[in-house]
Amino acid sequence: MTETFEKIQWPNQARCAVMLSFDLDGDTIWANGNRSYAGGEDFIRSTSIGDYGPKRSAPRILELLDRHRLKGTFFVPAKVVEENPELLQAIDRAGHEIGHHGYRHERFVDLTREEQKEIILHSQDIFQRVIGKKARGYRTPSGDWSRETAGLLNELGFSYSSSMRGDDRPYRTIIDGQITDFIEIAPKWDLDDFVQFGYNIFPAEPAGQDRISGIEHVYDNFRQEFDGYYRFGLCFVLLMHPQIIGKPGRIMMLERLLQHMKSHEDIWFATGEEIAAWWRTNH
Amino acid sequence: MLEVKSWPRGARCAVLPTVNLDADQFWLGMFPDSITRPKTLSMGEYGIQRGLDRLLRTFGEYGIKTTFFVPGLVAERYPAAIEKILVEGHELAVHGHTHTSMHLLTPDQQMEEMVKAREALQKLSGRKPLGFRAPEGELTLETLRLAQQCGFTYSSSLYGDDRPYRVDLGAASLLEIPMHWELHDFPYFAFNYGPAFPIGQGRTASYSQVTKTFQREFDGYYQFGLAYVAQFTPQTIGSPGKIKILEEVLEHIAKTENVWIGTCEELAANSA
Repeated sequence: MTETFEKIQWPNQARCAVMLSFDLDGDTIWANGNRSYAGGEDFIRSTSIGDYGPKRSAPRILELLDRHRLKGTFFVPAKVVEENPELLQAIDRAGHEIGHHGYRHERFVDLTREEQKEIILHSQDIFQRVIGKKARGYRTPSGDWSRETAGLLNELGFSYSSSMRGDDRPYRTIIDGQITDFIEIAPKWDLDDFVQFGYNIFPAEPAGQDRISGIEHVYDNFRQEFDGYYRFGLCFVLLMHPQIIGKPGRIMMLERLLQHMKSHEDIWFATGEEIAAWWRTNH
Repeated sequence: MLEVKSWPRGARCAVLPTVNLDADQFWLGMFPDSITRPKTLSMGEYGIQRGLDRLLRTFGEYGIKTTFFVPGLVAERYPAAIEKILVEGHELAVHGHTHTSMHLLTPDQQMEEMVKAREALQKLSGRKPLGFRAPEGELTLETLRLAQQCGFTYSSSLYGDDRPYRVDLGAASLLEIPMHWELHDFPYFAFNYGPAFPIGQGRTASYSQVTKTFQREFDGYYQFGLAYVAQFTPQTIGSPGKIKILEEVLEHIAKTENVWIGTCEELAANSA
């Protein structure tokens, strides 16, 4: 574990690492919430908010990343992989990383170890079938994982997770008291677009139906947070959802943010797996 | 009500940039189920691991000594963090033991919380903490009576004034150094989906608006000659981007003349 003000070595003398991550949840998050209502499995309005992600946002994001020659990390529930094989193959072909995000965005803290293992392995089979390889990274879907999940992922050969909230640089996960090679690259709620913009009247999202944040306000917050990560030389993890950030005005906000980041020459833009591999070798 | 004749050193305005080092005990105290939720707890651990260092460095840069309110269990779990606070010369005060809301506890349990927390802090600092801030949640006059009997010389738990005042406890009274929600970082920024905090999962406030709000409020406290008691939470304000909010607020205050900045203990001694 590095000291708070210790200068972190990044590749090519970069001052700061940036991981652009996209949780391509599709309709899974809405369908999961709807199941608690009578007849909820047939609701189509809230799920259409999710459908927009793979359908409209993902191509827009791929175009943006391509134009800026940047690689993203897409965490995708395997059900969305099954339903959108061509899109996932296009993401993979473009050189982006595809990571594990459950089968239908399950809340792992509510599952037994066996149930977790079954979901992980079943989803890995789908990745293998659709893109010809298994996921190396994992982001816990929907809130917490259980106290057993990190050990399970490590045992199943995952390289890293991007799930916790406890640091602003990668670290080696401690499992059963042992420092392991399993790397954690923690994101933050402050840098999660869903927290700022996700909205629906019924079923209510967020729970208290707070107002949708203004784009300039969110841009300013994200930029100030990035400036802090740059100042201290840390690992900035932007946690985005295509259905949220891929809207016409918001993707322009993302592009402005990318331009702001790229105005510094010493930024290392990297995928989760690249960051994990670097950390494992150098820390 | 105690009339404050003047602030220490004859200053026009007193500033107390207090810190609540709740860490993971905030989540465990409010949502005991969090014990099975590593991601939720990691938000609190961030306060110890990173946020605290940034706050201490910022206070050091401005030459500020302030009061850290710490739950006893946090002190027991993270003694190295408490040592860093002590080395910098800040004051340690009690913020419950388990960070459980006082209104949920019997008088005996409340007393036990106070005594255990006091002992946990005293063990590390070698001196008896003088201040008590009730954990988030409610309290009753009985809570303050117990705090007074327990030997605390001041409380910072209420919102009823913008200067210190004495709370009448019948046979005795206790000095209260009141705070205000709008001068607390947590309501603007703390977030978790599940367990939901805030309960309605509200958005992250605008960093620049919060900075300006803390600055405008200071201007008001200065104008009226009051005690500006702010609350900062390492897991919240201690992120790489948000620490700049604290810096800009302190910078704004530092540019103002005739301001006294110090600990609750010093202010309590001045108000006695």
